[in-house]
This record gives sequence, structure tokens and C-alpha cells, in this order.
Amino acid sequence: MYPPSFKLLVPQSLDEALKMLAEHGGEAKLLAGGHSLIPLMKLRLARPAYVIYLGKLKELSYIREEGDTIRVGALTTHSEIESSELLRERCPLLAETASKIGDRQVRNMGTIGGSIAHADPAADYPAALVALEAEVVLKSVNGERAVKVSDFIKGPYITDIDPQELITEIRIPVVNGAVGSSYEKLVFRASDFAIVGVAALIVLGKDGTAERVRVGMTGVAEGPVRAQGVEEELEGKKITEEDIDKASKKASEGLNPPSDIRASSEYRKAMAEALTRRALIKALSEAKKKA
Amino acid sequence: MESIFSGRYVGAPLRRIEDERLLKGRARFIDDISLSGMLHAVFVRSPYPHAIIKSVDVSDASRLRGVVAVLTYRDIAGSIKPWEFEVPSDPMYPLARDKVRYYGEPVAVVVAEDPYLAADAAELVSIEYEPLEPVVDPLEALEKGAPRIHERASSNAVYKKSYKCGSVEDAFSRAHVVVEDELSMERVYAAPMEPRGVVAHYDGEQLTVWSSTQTPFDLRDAILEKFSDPPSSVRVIQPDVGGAFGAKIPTYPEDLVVPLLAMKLGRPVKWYSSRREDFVATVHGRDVRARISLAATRDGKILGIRARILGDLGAYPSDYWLPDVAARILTGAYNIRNGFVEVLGVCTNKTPLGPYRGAGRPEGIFFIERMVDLLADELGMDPVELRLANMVRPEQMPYKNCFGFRYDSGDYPGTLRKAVDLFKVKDLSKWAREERGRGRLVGVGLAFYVEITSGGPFESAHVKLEPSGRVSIIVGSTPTGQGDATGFAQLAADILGTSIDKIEVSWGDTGLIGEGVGTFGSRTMAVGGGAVIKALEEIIKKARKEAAKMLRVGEEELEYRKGRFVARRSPDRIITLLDIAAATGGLEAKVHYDPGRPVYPFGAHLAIVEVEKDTGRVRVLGYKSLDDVGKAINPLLVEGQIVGGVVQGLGEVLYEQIVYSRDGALLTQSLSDYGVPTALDAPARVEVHLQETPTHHPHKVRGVGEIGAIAAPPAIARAIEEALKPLKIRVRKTPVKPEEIHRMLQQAGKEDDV
Repeated sequence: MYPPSFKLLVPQSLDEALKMLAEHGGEAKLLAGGHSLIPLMKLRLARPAYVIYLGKLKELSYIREEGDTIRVGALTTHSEIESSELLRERCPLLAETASKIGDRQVRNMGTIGGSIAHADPAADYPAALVALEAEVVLKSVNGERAVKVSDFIKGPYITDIDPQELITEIRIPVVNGAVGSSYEKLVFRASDFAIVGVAALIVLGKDGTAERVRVGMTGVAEGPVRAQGVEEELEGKKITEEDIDKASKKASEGLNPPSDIRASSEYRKAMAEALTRRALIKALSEAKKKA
Repeated sequence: MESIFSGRYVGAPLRRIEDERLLKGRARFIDDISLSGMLHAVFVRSPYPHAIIKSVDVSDASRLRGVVAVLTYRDIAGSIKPWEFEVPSDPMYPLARDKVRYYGEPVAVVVAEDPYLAADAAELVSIEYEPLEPVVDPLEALEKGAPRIHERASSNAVYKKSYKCGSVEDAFSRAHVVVEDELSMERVYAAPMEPRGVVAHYDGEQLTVWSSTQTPFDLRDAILEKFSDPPSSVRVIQPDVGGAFGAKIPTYPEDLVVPLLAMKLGRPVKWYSSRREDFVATVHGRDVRARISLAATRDGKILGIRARILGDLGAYPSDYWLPDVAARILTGAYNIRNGFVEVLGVCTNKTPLGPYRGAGRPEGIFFIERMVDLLADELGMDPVELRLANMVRPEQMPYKNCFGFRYDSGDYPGTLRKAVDLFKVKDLSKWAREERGRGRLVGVGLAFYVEITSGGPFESAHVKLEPSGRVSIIVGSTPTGQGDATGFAQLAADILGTSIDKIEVSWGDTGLIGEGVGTFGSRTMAVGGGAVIKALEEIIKKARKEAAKMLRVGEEELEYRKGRFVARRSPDRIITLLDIAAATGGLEAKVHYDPGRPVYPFGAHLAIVEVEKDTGRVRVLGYKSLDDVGKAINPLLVEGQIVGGVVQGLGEVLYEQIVYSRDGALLTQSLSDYGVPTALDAPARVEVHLQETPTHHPHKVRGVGEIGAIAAPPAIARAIEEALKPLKIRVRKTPVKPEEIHRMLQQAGKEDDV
């Protein structure tokens, strides 16, 4: 598999990259870790005239907490996210999700910005990011804007990105208090893309009542979705395992997941429920430990 | 000659002598070969599974800068003869002539200065097709009015045969119990780490071809036979091969077209398949289904077997014999004296079927073992007891089974009893029952197999003992990563009484040894090793003559031991092989070894699995094997073969399946869609036990390459059924996917509620 010819551009700074995008945007593709773009080019499904390699932009690789926000640079790799002490402490859901992506080699190369931009309907991050109510920061020569992940991903491989824009950062609101979370991923074989993935987050109040419940799912729709029926069912309750059993059944409400050679729509619905249950049980037990 | 089993090497678990160069990156695989002036070929393949080629326009492709040639069938028509098969069918042309019969069949070839240009040009080849209705389901292919794949065949069932023994009608009329089921092993892809590839170079006289193959001698012969104007000399070299598993036995269109291009263009040419291409261009395996009935008495004596075996041969019936092997091994380890089996080979619009690790035996053994488990459940008997009650007994050996296979030796019931002890089956089953009581879905499954190895006509070896003491062994067998060179060196070092460091083993080059057969059917150590031993014996015989002269004693006076001859009555008269080699300028022998008849490995495998109740996912928690491998020349290599085969078998039961759409497109064309298991999917440890009943080979070997892939599917299938008890869920086919298990669990749950 050999891609058609293309011109490789290697910007040395973010500004230079943005200028290149301003000039070639419609004909250009951004190359970060390469785990999605290169296979597509080898299959000749992507045929960019220009490939802009972002590897020199070290300024886009960082994880930091500022005020009530955690900021993750777009070029931060999955393995950096997986092993970040800050994230493990302050946003373990993202670190756990990163640790379940692909295999070691993929995690060493792939970046969070690249994954979000590619918007594979089976990608892991989006489930966690919608549960965390995260935002994507987009930059172009014309300025900067922030979009909620749930609005940014429009469908399979479709996002709200302008050809002249580049993802610079993911912003995650810090969640304090008795927080528990879990990302449950169903694969048949190690290292595969998720059949279904469910991220759950529970925040307990001082009296043990669930103040906030968030459930994000991947693999069950055209993009990531929140299981709002489940969230509403549990919020404001002193949650028991029976509550979770009951609420999980709402995870597939209104869903019409795709059928493909890996799984049928019906099975994906059933798995959305099963994994929601698993994720909530773990999240609850974590949250209780901190209460 | 003294026993070859008294030395320090044979039987020792030595690490592989092959590994140093592999691990240090000094291996040379097909894509490492680069010749000066080399061109690159890309094949243009049919996007239709069944179509008439109306016209091909190569003008745009030819005009692209850097493109050297674009060829279609018309350009090579007079140069390469097509394949004609032994069963009624149209010929297969190296580039499709006027019709394509499977998605991916090569239609044209582009040759360019680099592979990127060749790929660009391939997109510009314009082919007009008239699509024909395809048929991908073999049962539909049998229906009246189904699209006909081969005009020369009167139906798509191009191969029919039946075998019988005793009186099956009588057996079924006497039976108290008859169980019947439909079983299948779905289509799979061998997925060697290295896809296929060919490089060819012609210097005006000699054509040199490098191919990632298991059978370089067949390829050389095919070139000589199929080229209408063959070169005066052909040399085929098998470079390092990154796995083959049977799929690199056939000679493929690319194996002939690339050498022809090198001859026509006067420059070296390389073709190296991508993974996607390998999925369509390399034979698939299995795809055999069966309807089987067993007749038995109520106390568990199997009286008869009746079966219809149907193999989906794909587009060309090159390996129509595969379902035949499944049929003939169908009585497994059991003494069943009344049987009838009908074999059908059916053509469909899919990649041709070919051998894959086990080639027919995994299917036959899966079928009989599943049926015996079904009968045990029906009778309420312990499956082990049922097996013991029906097994061929040691005193019946050699035993000709119902469909003509002659099992050579072995104590099957004794081996099963031993396995039950070694595996601690009773404890494990008790544990599983208790765990199930606590809600964990765990199960233990056991299977017993017999299989056939050491096939093929003969094998060759050429051994030289240099005056320096170095030993060169050239073998006709052609290992593709199994480590046989280490085994051959162990045999030679012990027989010659020398250090293994002195021994060098080479293979895979028709220029090194004129005649050889190859590596397949677990024959390399058995038949190839037999040839090595025969050559070494020949050398010792020659040395004995020389020793007698040099020591001035009669040949019969001399005793050979660990590299030296000693005169029996005057022990001070000693001469070493080394002295003889030095004095004579070296000793050498070229031999063929023909074992005359095959041998039959056998054994028991056990799997422990856990099923996740909420998802249907299966995890193999543990695995144990007891295999009668004959003499284990190197137990470490044997273990490697068994574990590798088991993991491939595991993949076949749990993940792997080639899927075509109804309109004939291949949907599983990448390793993310096609589930080859990884190390993380395998049990942490496979507990391997060996048993060494001797065979008629001089080194008593039985062959081990395929047993894991044969035994694992029925063992794992049974373990899944056990894990789901008391639900009566049957595993009827491979793979059994989580979704199906989940559905069965849901249905069973609903029925329970009722």
C-alpha cells in the first residue's frame, strides 16, 4: 500500500503551522502521531496535496492545571496522559481511558488532538470527554474558539473544524470532592478498537447523595453520546447497586447503533447497558472511598 | 550404528541456532532483497467477485512517467500455460483471461521504477467489466439455477466422493440412540507475519527467483513446465520466511508472472504483497461444514457414523482434496466399524481454498469430538468414559480406520487415562462446578485427537564432513521459522560425536540441492530429519571402509561410537571420524529418504475457560496438553510448536473469520477486522506434557507442527459448553462469537423465566 505523492511541510512553530493552514487548508492534512492519517493515505482514501507535520511543535505537548481547568495540549501522547501524575490525581478518568487505547506502540505515538480530530466512532477519548464536559480549543490565523466535545464531533469522522483550524488544547473542568470514575471498554481481542466504551463519573455529596452522574458512551452512535436517562435516574439519590441495575437499562434508550461485521446494533445496545452498569458500579465504589 | 539417543544433544531443550541472526536483524526476508536496477510490480485486481472482462485499457497507465510495462492476459498468453485442475473446471490463467471468479483475482500487472509509481499507474488501468451474479454461499451454489462458476463443470459441485465400511444401515437400525448435528469450521486466513512476495532476476541464461514459499522445488518445476520458452536454468531461493502455515505451499500466479516479467524486461522485478492484498491473493483455509449422525447403544457403544462433508473450495478447485482429509479422519480415535461419508467440494466466488495448519484434520477432529460430546450429553455419560469405551485399543494397532487411514501405533485409552490424571481433570471439574455455584461461568473441556503426518513423497539431504571437522548439512525440506535446523544439528552432532557448533544447516535453495520436497504436513523433522540421519549413516558407512583400511582390520571388526571407530579385539586401534575426514579430503553423502507410510500423532488437550455473563466474551484461563510426539528431538521446539498451534486454534474458535458480503466483496481485509489472537489473548501458560511412543522413522519422530491447531478447537468448544451449564448450549461452529454466546444466554434466560 503506497500513498499518492504529497508535499511534506514541517512548521517549526504554531504560528508557522497556522500560516501554512491558512494557505493550504483545504488541500492539507495535519500529521501528528499518524495512526489514523497514514493508514488512510496508504489506502488512498485520504489524498492530501500537503501533509503538515506537527512533530516539532513541542509547545502543544503539556498537561497542566490552571484555576478550575485542566489543560491538555493537543500533541500530548496517550502514554503521557496515561502516566501523568497530575491526571491520575485530578482526572483519573482521562488517564484510565488513555491506558486502554490500542497497544503500547499506539499509545506512544498517538496524540489526543489527533484522535479527537479524526473522530473515529469507536474512539475511546470521546466517551470520557463528553462525561467530563470537556472542550476543544481550535486556533487559526483568525483567532481562537472553544467548542464542547459533544458539539465538536458531528458524526463518524466528521467534526466542526474549519480547514484553516488546528486543535491546540483540550480543556477539562476540574471536578472536586468525592469523585469516582471508570472507563469500561469492550473488545473481543486485546488492543482492538472498542465495540462499545462507557465512561462514568459520580460525584457524591457530604451525605452520600449523588450530586452529579455523568455517563459518556462510544461505539453506539454516530459520535459520542451521554446517557442522560441514566444520569437523571441516579442524580439526587443515595445510589445502591439495585439503582444502578435499574438505571443502566436506560443506557440504550433512543440509541440506534450501527451494525457491522464486528457487532450488530442489538448487541451494541445490550453492551451499552452492560458496560454502563459495570462503569457505574466501579465509579460508585471509588467515590464512596473518597466520601 | 549406535543409538542416536545416547548423545548429549538429542532430547535436550536447546535454544535455536537460527535465532542469533534473526534477533540481530541479519535475516533476509523477501522485502530485504534489493537488486540493482530492480523494478516493482503491482497487480491490478478485480473489484468484482464474478464478471466478464469486456475490455482493458492500459494506455493512461503506460504513459505515466516511470512506468516500464503494463501487461494483461493478452501480453502473456503465449508465454505461461494456465493451471488445469484434476476436477472438472475451467483453467486458471495467471492473469484473468476473459472472466474473473473472485474478488481480488489478478487481471493486469504494472511494472515501474518504484512501487509508488506502480501503485499510481495501477489506478489508471481502466477495465470494463460486465458483472455476473456471484455466489458466495456454498449451499446456494448447490441450488438449481445458481450462478455457474466453471463452464466446463456440470455443476458447482466439482468434486464428489464417498467412503464407506461395514453396514451403516444395519448399524443405525440396531442403534438405541442416534444423535445428529450440523457443524462447521468457517473460512480463515493463515495470516503469517510476512505476506507473500517474489523477486526475479534473469541474466540471459539463468533465471533466479526468490519467493516467500514453503515449496521452492515445486516453484522451479512449475516455471520449467508452464513457461512455453523456459530459461536454460532456473534457480529458486527461499529466503527467510516469516511464517507460512500451509498458505505458502501453492505456486501462485505472481510466482510465475514476476519471473516472466524479469525475463521479458531484462531487469530484476520485485512484487511484495500488502496485508490487504494478501487477504485476497493468498489461499484461505477450513470452510468445511458437515451434517453428521452417530448411532450408539444406550450403554455408549458407537455403532456407526454417517456424514456429509461439504467444502467450499472458492473460485478454483486447486486443493479439492482438503474436505477429503476431513472425511477420512472422521472416526478420530474411535473404533467405529460402520460408516458412510459423502464428500462434496463446491466452487464459489471466493479466494481459492488451500491448506492451513492441519489441512482437513482440524475439521474432521472438531466434527467427531463435538459429536462424541453430544452423544455423551444425550446418554448422560461422562465424555471421558464414553471415549474410553470406544477407542481403538493398542492391540488393534496398526489399525485401518473406517475410511482407509492406517493408524500406525499408540495406546489411545492409556493416553487418555494418563491425561485425566496429569491434568487433574477431576479436581478441575469439581472446582469449575463450585465456581459455577458461585455464579462464575467457568468450564473445563477435553478433546482427543489422532492426526496424520509425514506425507509427501520423500525428502533429501546432502551432508559433508569437511577435513576441518566442520559439518555442512543441506536439506531439501524448507522450514519457515519452526527451528528445524537446530533439530537437524542436534541429530548430526550426536551421530558424529561432535559439537553442535561445528554444524551448519542450509536449506531453501534449488541451487544447493537439486531435489527436495518441502515443509508441510508436520513432515520437516520427521521426513527431513530422516533424510539427515540416512545421510549421516551413509557417511559413517564410508568412513568405516576407510577406517578399516587405515587400521588394517575388517570392517565388521570396527565398533563406531561417538565419532570414533575402535577395533573390538584390539581397543588401542582407534581412529576418529575427523582423522578419516582429514585423510580422505572429507566425506559426503547425498540421500533421499522415503518413509513409505505416514505416522499418526495423538493426544488429549484440555482447556479451562471463563465466559463473561454480561458480554458473552470468552477468556481461556488455562490450557494443558498431552501429546504423543514420538521422540522429541528438542522438547523446547516441540513445546513452541504446540503452544503456537494452540493459540492459532484459540483464534479460530474465538475470533477469526473471513467474511464476505452477500455480493462477494471481502469485508475482512485488515488485521483490525480479522481477529488474529495476540499474546494477551492466550492463556499465560500452556502446560505441555509429552509422550514418546516410537514410530518407524529412524529417529522415532511423529511430527508436531499441527497438533495444537487440531486439538484446541474441540477442547475450547467443550469448555465453553461446560461453562454455560446447566444451560444446554451447543457450540456447533467456529468461531463462536461473544454476540452469539450473549444471545444464547439471553434466550436461555428467557426460557428459564417461562
